[in-house]
Amino acid sequence: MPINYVLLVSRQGKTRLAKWFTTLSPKEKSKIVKDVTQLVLARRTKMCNFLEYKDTKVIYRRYASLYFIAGVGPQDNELITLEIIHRYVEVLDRYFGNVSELDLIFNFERAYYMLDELLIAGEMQESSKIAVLKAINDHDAVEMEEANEEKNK
Amino acid sequence: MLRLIYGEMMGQDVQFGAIYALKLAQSGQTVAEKRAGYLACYLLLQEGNELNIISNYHHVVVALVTLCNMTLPDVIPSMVSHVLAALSHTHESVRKRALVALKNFYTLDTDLVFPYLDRIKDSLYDPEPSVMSAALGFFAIAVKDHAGEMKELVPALIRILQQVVDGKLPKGYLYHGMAAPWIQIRCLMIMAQLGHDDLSAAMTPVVLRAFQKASQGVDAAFGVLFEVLRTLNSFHPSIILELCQSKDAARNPLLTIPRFATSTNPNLKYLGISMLCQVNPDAWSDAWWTEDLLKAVVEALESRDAAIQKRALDLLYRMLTMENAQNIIERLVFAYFQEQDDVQGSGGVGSQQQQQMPSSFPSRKEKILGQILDAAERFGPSEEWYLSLIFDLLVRGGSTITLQTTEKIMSVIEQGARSLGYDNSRLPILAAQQSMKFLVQQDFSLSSTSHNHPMTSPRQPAPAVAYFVFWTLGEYGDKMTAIAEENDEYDLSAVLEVLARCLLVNQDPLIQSFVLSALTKLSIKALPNPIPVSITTVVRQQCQNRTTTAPPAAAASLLTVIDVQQRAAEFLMVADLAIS
Repeated sequence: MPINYVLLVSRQGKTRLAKWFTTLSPKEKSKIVKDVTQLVLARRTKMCNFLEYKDTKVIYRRYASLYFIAGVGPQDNELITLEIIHRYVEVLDRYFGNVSELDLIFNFERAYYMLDELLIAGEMQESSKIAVLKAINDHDAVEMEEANEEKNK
Repeated sequence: MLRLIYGEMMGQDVQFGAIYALKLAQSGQTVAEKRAGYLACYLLLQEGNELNIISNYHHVVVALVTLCNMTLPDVIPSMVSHVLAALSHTHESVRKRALVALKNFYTLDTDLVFPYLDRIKDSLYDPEPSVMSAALGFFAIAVKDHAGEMKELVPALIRILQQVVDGKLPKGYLYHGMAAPWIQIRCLMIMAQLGHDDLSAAMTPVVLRAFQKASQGVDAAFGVLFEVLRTLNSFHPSIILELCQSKDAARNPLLTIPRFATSTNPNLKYLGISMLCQVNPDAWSDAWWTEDLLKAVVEALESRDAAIQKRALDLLYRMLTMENAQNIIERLVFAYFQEQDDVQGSGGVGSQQQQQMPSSFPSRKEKILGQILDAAERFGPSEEWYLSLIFDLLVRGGSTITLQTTEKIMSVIEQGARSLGYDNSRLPILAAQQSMKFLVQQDFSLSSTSHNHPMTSPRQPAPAVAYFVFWTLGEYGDKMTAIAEENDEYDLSAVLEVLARCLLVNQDPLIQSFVLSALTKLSIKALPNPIPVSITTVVRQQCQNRTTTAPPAAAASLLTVIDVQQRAAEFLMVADLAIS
C-alpha cells in the first residue's frame, strides 16, 4: 500500500530528488528512474496524471519546470496519491516562500527533511501542514541556536 | 556527508559511505550534524546491510525513524519489547513512529508482533490524530491475512470514520476543505477487507455518510469517493445491489459516476472509468446506467491517452455478457494487435531493452490475450465463432502466443467451455474439421504462413498453430464423420492421407513431431484396420532421410530430430501391429 518512491525530475530529465521506500539495488533504481522519467516527459498536457509502468502505477504532476513523481502499487488510490504530492508541494511552498527549482537544488537536504515529516516508510504520516512546518521550524531553530553558540565561543 | 547523499540520489553506489554516516549520526556534535547523519543512514542502510546490526540499538535510544525503514529479521525479537514500550511514550511523534516501526516488523515477521495486537489496538483511541492514523496504517497491513480475527476492530473503525467525517479533528487536518482524507481512506480500506460477510450492514451507514460529505468536495474528495465505491463493492453483494437501485443521489453512490466519466478533465475522466471498473457486475442496472455513460466509455476507448484507454479496456472486460461478448472481444482483439504495433513502432531502443529484460510479470499484451481467451470461453456465442477467433489469434498472434497458450486452448476444447452458447460435444469435432480445412487452405505447409505476410511476421511461424492443428486432428480426427456433410471427405483414411502429406511438405522437425504424434494416435484408433501402406512408406522414408542427411548444427534442434525419429519408430510399430 505505501508509496514505493518519490522522484523530482526537471523538465530536462535531471533528477532533483529521489527517495526510495523499498529496497532495490542501485541498478534497478537507475533503471526505474530512467524509464519513468522518459514515460513522464513524453506525456502531453492534456493527458491524465496517471500511467502504468510494469505492474505499478506512476502518478505525476508538473509544477513549473519540475515533475513530481510517485510510484505506487496496483491497488493504491491514484487520486489521493496525487494529493500527497500536492500537499508536499504546498509545504515546500510555504517553507521556502514560493518555491522554485533553484531552492530545491541548493537546499535539497531540507526538501528531504520535509518529505520525511510527511511520509514515513512511504505512508502519509502527518497530513497536517501546520504540524509539518512546526516540526521543521523547531529543528531549524535548534540548529540556528547551536550555530550561534558555536560562533560565540 | 551531504555530498554523499547527493551522489546516492544521482544513482551512484555509495555504500562505502555508510559507515561514516553511522558515525556522524552517533557522534554528531550539533543537531545539524545529527540530522544529516540520520538522513544519510536511512538512505544508505537498506535491509540486508550488515551495518544495521550495529546501528539498531542506538536508534531505539535516539531515533525510531530509522528503525521504521530498516531492520534485519534477526534483530526484531530483541527490538519488539523496546518498541512496544515506546507506544506509551509521552511525545506523540515517538508513539507514531513506534507504530510505523511495528508495522515494519509485522511485515518482516508477523508471528512476533501478533501477540501484542491488543496493545496496538489501544493506539486507535489515541487522542493525537497522527498516532491514530499510524495505528490505522498498521492495521491496514495486518488485516490483510487475518481479517477473520480482527472483526472486533469494526466498532472502533466506525467511530473513527464518524469522527473524521463530522469534522471533529483539529483544523490542521483539513485538506482543501476535506477532513483528513488520508485517515478516511485508510479506514475505508480496512473496512473493505473486513466487510466480506455480516459486518457490511453495520458499516454501510458511516461509509455512505463519508460519501455524502465527499461528494461536495474537490481534489482529495475524489480520492475518497473512489475509495467509498471500492469499499461498498467489496462489501456483501446485497449492499451494493440494494444501493444501486436507489434514485436518491445521496443513497446511491453510482449516480456520481457519470459526472466524472463524462468530464473533460482527463484526471476526472480516468477516475470515472476506474470507478466503473470497481462496480460489481451484478449491480449494473438501468437505474444509474445512462446513454451518456456509454458514450463516455466509447470515447475513452478512442482516447489518445494510453492510461485512460487501458482503464476502459479493463472495464470492457468486466462488462462482458452473452449479448455484448462478440463486440467486446472484437475490441479486445483489436487492442491486442495494437499493442504489438506499439512495441515494434517504438523502434530500436525499446525492442532491444525488451529483449534484454525477460519480464517476470505478464506484459500488457499477455494480459489482454488472457482476457480475450477467458472472455471467449465464458461468453462466446457459437463454436464456429470461437474457432475462427482461435485460428485468427494463432496465425496472426505473433510471439506472445506460446505453446502454453495453445495448451490452454486445448484444455478448453477437451473439457468444454463455460459459455452457454457452445455445444461442447460438437466443439472438438468442429475444431478438427476446421484444422483440416486450414491445412488444405495452407497447401499443407505450415511454414508458408510467413510467406503470406512477410511484413507482419518476419520470424519463424509460431509453432503454436501447428501444435493446435495436429493435436485436434490426432484427438478428434476419427470422429469428424459424425457431423460432416460430405462424409467421404473427412473419414479417417482421408485424415491420415493429409497428415502424411504434411509430413512431406514440412521439413521442420518440431512440426514433424507434431504430425507424427497425431498419426500414431489416429492409427491406434483405427487399429483393427490396417494402415495404408502408402502412409507407412512416407514415414519410413522421412525417418531414413533424417538419419542419412547430416544433422543440423544446432544442438537444440538435434534433440528434436531424435524426438522425430523416436515418434516415427513408434508409429511404425503401431502400423506393424495392425498388419500382423
